Formats: sequence, C-alpha cells, structure tokens
Amino acid sequence: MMPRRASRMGLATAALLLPVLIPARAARANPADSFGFGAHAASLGNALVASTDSLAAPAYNPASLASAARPSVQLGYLLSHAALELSGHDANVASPRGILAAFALPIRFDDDVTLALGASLYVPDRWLLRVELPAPTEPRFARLARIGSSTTFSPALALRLGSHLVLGAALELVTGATSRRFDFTLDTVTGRPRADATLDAQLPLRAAPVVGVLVTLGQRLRVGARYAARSDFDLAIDLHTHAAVAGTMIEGTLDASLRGVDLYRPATLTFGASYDVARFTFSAELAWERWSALRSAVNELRIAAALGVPLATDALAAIPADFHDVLVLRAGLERTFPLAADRALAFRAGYFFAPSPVPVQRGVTSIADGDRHAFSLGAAFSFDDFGVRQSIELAAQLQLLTPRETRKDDLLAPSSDFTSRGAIVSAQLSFRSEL
Amino acid sequence: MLWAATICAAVVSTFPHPARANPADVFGFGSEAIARGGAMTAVATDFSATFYNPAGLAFGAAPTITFGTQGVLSRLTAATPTASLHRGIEEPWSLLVGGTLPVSRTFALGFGASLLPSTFIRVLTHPADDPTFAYFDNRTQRILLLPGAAFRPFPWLSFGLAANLLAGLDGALTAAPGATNALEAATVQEFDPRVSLHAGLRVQPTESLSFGLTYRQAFDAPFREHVVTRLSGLPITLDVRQAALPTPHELSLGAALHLAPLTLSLDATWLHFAAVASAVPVVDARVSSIAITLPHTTHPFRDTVDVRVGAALENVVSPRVTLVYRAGAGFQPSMVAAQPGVSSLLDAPKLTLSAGLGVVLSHVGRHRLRIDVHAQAIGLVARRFDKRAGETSDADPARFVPDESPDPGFQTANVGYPFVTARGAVFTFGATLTLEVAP
Repeated sequence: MMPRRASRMGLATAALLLPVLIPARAARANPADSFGFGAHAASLGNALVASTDSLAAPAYNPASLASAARPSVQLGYLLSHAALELSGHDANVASPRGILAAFALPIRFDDDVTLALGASLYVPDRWLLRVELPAPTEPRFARLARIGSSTTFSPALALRLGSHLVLGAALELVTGATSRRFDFTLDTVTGRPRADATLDAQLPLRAAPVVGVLVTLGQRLRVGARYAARSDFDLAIDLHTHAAVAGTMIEGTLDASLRGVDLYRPATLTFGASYDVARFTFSAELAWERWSALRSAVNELRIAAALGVPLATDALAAIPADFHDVLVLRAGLERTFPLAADRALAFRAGYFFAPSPVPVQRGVTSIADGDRHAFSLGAAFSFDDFGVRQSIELAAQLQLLTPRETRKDDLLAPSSDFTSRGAIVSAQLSFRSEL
Repeated sequence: MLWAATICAAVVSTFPHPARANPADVFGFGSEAIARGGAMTAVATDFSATFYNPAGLAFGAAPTITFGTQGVLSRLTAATPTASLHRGIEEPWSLLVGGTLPVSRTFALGFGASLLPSTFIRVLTHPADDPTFAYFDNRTQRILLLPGAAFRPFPWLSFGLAANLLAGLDGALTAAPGATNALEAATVQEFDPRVSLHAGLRVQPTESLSFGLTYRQAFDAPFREHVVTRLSGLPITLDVRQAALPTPHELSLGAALHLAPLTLSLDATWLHFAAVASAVPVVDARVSSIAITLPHTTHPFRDTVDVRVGAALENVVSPRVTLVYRAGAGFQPSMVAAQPGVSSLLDAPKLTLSAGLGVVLSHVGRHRLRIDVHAQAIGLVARRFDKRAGETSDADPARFVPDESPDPGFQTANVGYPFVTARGAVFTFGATLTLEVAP
C-alpha cells in the first residue's frame, strides 16, 4: 500500500512542481490584483493568501483549492468606474467590466491524500484583450489604465498531505505577446495599381507559474504563502513594404519595427495569515512586488526607408522605466451570522495599501500614477436549495489615488508639468454553488 | 419545445458577431469521436458533446476530466505541369482538455478545449495566386474553447447549448514625428470577443435508439490592421482586412443504434459554404495621395452535405478491463467551385477512414479511467482546376488569368496556369485520457 501511495504522491508532487520548471516568461495583469477575483475576495481587501476559499484559489493561492469539500462552481460579474484626472481633466481611462467564473473539483484518494483541480477565468466584456502603447511622450496613466484589460485563465491543482499541509500550483495562461509580420507589395500590373499582402499574425501562448502553500496550525490559524512569476505582454510588429508607385519617384522599401511591453504585472511574493475566532475571521498579508524588473514602460520604434526620396527616420531612443519595488499591505475581516440550520449571513470589510512603483517623471516620459488606498465592504447570503449549498455575494470597493504633482525640471523636456489624482470604484456580484 | 426554441433564438440573437473556424470542424474532437468517423451527434456524452451535440452532456453519468493530444500530417500536393508543390498544415499539434459535471439529474455542465502548444491563434494569408487548399489551410490554427450546458427535462429528451469563444483582431499603428521631433509610434491592438453557438437536441425514445440534431453557427476570424506612417511629410497608409479561418453554418442530424455490445451511428451534416466570405485578404493602400487597391476577388464556395458513419464494439476482458474497438468512415464533397482566374483555392471530394481503440479500467482507486487512441486518414479524390486566359481589361480577376506582359503572346506569372491539380491526403492520430470521478 505504501509504495502505491508514495508513487501517487510522487506523481502529484511532480505535477505541482511542473509550473515552476516552465520558464517564467510573461503573462499579464490580473484583475485579482486590484479589484479582487469574486465578491468574497473584493470585500476582504484581496487578503486571501491564507484563505480556505477554493473558488478564489487559482487567483490567490492554489493550495486553497484543496479546501473544497465538494465540486463547486462560481459565476460573477465585475463592474467598475475609473474617475482619474490628469491636470484636472478626465484622463479617459477605460473602466473594466467583466465576467468571472471558477470551479473546484476535489478528488479523494484516501483519508490523508486529496488532489483538487480547479480553474478561474476572467473575461472582460468589451474585448478579450486590449493592448495600448501610446506615444512615449504622451502623459497617461500607464499602469492603472491597463488593469482588467485582458482575459486571464488559470488552471490549478492542489495536493493535501495530511491535515496540516497543502501544496498548490497554477498556471496563468494568457496571450503573452503578439507577433505580426506584414509584407506589402504596391506596384502596377497590366496597367492597374496593385496592392498585395501576406501576413503571419500570432498570439503566442504564455504560462506564468504560480505556486502556493497553506499550513493549518491548530484549529484556528492558517498561514499561507504564494509566489507568482511576472507577467506582461510583449508586442512585436514588423512591417516590410515594397513600393513602386507609377507616376512618382517612389520606388524601394520601407521597414518598420515596433517593440513594447504592456499589461505588466511584477513577480510577487506574498505571505499572510488568517485567524478564526468565535464567528470572526481576520486575514492579513504582505506582498512584495518586483516592479524594478520592468525594462521600459514605453514602446520602441525603428524605421528604415529607402524609397528613392529623402526621408527623416530618426526615432526616439529606448527609455528605461526605473520603477521601484513596493510592499503591498492587505487586511480583511469577516463575521458570520447563522440564521437557521440551512441559512447564514456574512458581512465583510477589507483594506489594502498599494504604493506607487512609478518614479518622479522629470524627462521625456510623463507616466501618471500614485499610491492607492482601497476600502471595501461586502455581504454574503448562503442557503441550501435542492440539496445544493448556494450563496449570493456582493462587494463594493473604493480605491483612492493619492494626488501627485509632477514638475519637469528639465527645460528641454517635451511635455509640461502635470498633476494626477482620482478614484476607482468597483462592485462585484457572485453566485456560488457547492454541488 | 417552444420555450426552449425561444431561449435559443434569443441567445443566438444576443451574439450576432461571428467567431471563427476550429480544428474540431476539420478533423474532429477527441480520439473516441474521430475513431467513430465523427458520427457523434446522437451519441456524444463526454466533453466532445460541447462540439457534436451539447444536449448529450445531460446523458453523462459522472464528472469527467479529459486530457489528450492530436497530431496532423499533411501529404497535400498542388501539382502543375511543371512542379509539385507540397502544402503543409501549420501548427500540427494540439492539446485537448475537457470536463463534464452533472449538477443534477436534469442539468449538466461541460467544457471542451483544444489548445495549440505555442499560440492562441495564428492568422496566415498568402498571395492571391498562391495555390492553397481552402478546406485545410489556416482553418485549424486557433484554440477552441467550448463551455456548454444541457437540460434534460425528461429521461428521453435533452436540450443543450455551447458557446464557441474566441476573438477578432483589430489593430492600428501610427508612426509620426512626436513632441521631440523624433519619430514616435502609438498602437492599439484589440481582440474583440466573438461568440458563436452550438445548439443541440437529443431524443432517446428507447434504450437502444437515439437521435440528435445540432446547429453550429457560422464563424470566421475578422482580422484588421491599419498602419499609418508620416515620414518627412510623406504619408503612407496601409490597411489589410481578412475574414480568416472560416467555418460555415452547419446542421447535423444523427441517429444511433445501441445493440450491446455494438453501437452504430450515422450523421448527415449540411454545411452552408455558399455564405462563406473569401479567404483572400483585402488590401487598401495610399501613398501620398495615390490610392492602390488589391482587386477584390470572389471565390464562390458551394454548400455540401457530409455523411459519416461510426461503430463501437465493447469487449469485456475482465471485471476491471474493457476494450472498445472503434471504426468510422465519411464522405465530404468539395466546397470549392472552379478556379479559372487568378486565385487557386483548391479542394476535392474527400473520403475519410478512421479507427481506434479504447481501454476502460474500472477500478483506479475509486475512479474509472479510459484511454482512447485513434488514427484517421482523409484522402482527396484528385481534382484538376483549369485556368482561362482573358482580356487584361476585365475587372474581375476571378474570371480570367490576365496577360501581365506587353510582349507578344500570352505572359503570366500565375503559378496555377494553365492548370493545377489538387491531390493527396491528411493523416491525424492522437490519444485521450479520461478520468471518471467517483462521488
């Protein structure tokens, strides 16, 4: 019996380690980092690294997946409004909205070993993905404007070993890059102008690994840790044009190449604890976000033209981001009120503080940002219906951006001084069912 | 029936945007289904039901999880009088992931996905005169995501709905002098959600007889990139658009006869290819004030009716092990009309043969494990496409191959002139692993 169990545990452990062995190459910003994945997480200030919420596990700590007692599903909707200002004017930042879904499926092998599978999915309702790289000198909210702009799918698995230790792993599967190569031919055939094109456009798949551990100490205390590799979207567009335009001097080639990074989410290491006392649950955690690894926050253009006429092709040189690492603090509190044997009500509150990683903008770029204080409230009503445990959950969150004034000391800087401020409000509705 | 039809119609009208083609349409979805010739409309109950007939999800008994893989090997050839051009299929490997979850006796959820190892989607276009196999080329280079649900109000009747999810690609790129007078670029790339629906009905009047009806909504991949460069005051605008990876509206009618241990199935599918747009990109360019446009070509496709048959024979080897032998066949007429003009979209009537083996292990812990393997061959009945030389003043490049040189005599660089023959075969093979989870 022991060898079989050891074999199964070995295989499961190998499966859990697999995501770590995959190169940690780019994926993307996850709405869970800011708005919360589901109403439960949003109302607790996203402090879920030591939680037993199996349906939020792929987004916060895959080890929590093993907390599922039965197959469970969740469906929810995120609504937000970003009221961000640049120098007193609306910054025209898109307000994310989207659908959230998740499932958890426990598979028991014996009393001591449980393997759990699950996945979470976030889909913006206006686009699956939006990548935006404005001109480098244009003032803008480069970071906050991009939250919730991409679809995120995270399959996860967890392995419970005994009653105290759970290991978990997830892959954040996203489109981590786009590669487009165009070859245009503009010429004349049989007396008529002709435009022809071949193209090869890809959205390469990226898998950003996430690993987590959850340790239960006694009956009340849980300690969790999670590491998520960095995510971003590498944009690469290559354009080759051959032109021979009749009646003009234009004959030759034009080559353009654009490279840039958008939707960056830094590598993150999170430690947290959750403590149950009476009918209260208190959660707190600290996350280190490695923003300093971001190479550049603006795009880079290269152009070469040989069209038979003199053309200026000097492009702006690459500009380093110089972002710095930050520590994010999150905390949440929940109180449960049993109403009857088959009904319960819960109220929740949360807070997080996310310092800005963006340095003071003195040169060519004008990236607006600021420290964020987020306050959240929520409630959940649970009930049994047709033998199925179900709950309806609501959450509301307010993120306040600390005002920041940027003064350009460099007289040669192309853009002027600017101020940034604002708030982002969001609400979530989730429906859960434990089958 | 009426309320179900009303709901289906309402949902369909909610998602008017087409999505795109997928590998399941061309080769099948899952080893069991492919081995049975794709005749699954009246029998699919696992993750493959999200494609073949979502109503079948409600006939599944236990939660299942499926993983698998599939490979494609192309031996397609475009033969001209002077050369034989091999035509491969890009991204030949795919991974399968699926699952089903019976929520209650009357309601079930399911999910099926086909993933490419390295990309979500790949859009490829060719020059207009490049001989291309329209049925196979750039129709399978995408991921397929099919969440579905089924409702079974009576033991003999179920309805199902699945969503075929993906994105259209719409981008814009501008390069022009910025605040420092150096060239700066700005770009927005949007991937808009596209949803098309699979709606199914399954009727099982007796234990040994079942019928299925499935409608799969048409889709294609709308792709657009708009590029503007302004160098020293010279504006160059390039705009390319394409409806790539097309798949037509499809209506499948299937029947199955269960004569234990043998199951026979038959499908007939109408494919409305006549409504499919051209697979050739549309290019509009402007250099300074001079407009340059690719002559729009028309490529009349035509509707087809595919016929598929399948069989599965169970052999109980022991209380723990059951073997399932499977075989299938199908015939698909060509959907491409004659190609006398510039373009050479090739196709031919296709004969499909398939076989497979399933091994069911009944006691894996408390669970049940099924291993399925398959092999499939799609052979083309050789077909010749003759070109027609015509007047250079004719505006429709789909009708004639033009004389491209002022020299005396007929001169053309068209690869397919004077004729091109489509022939060859495509082979697929793969395996799936399905775990039936005990409560």
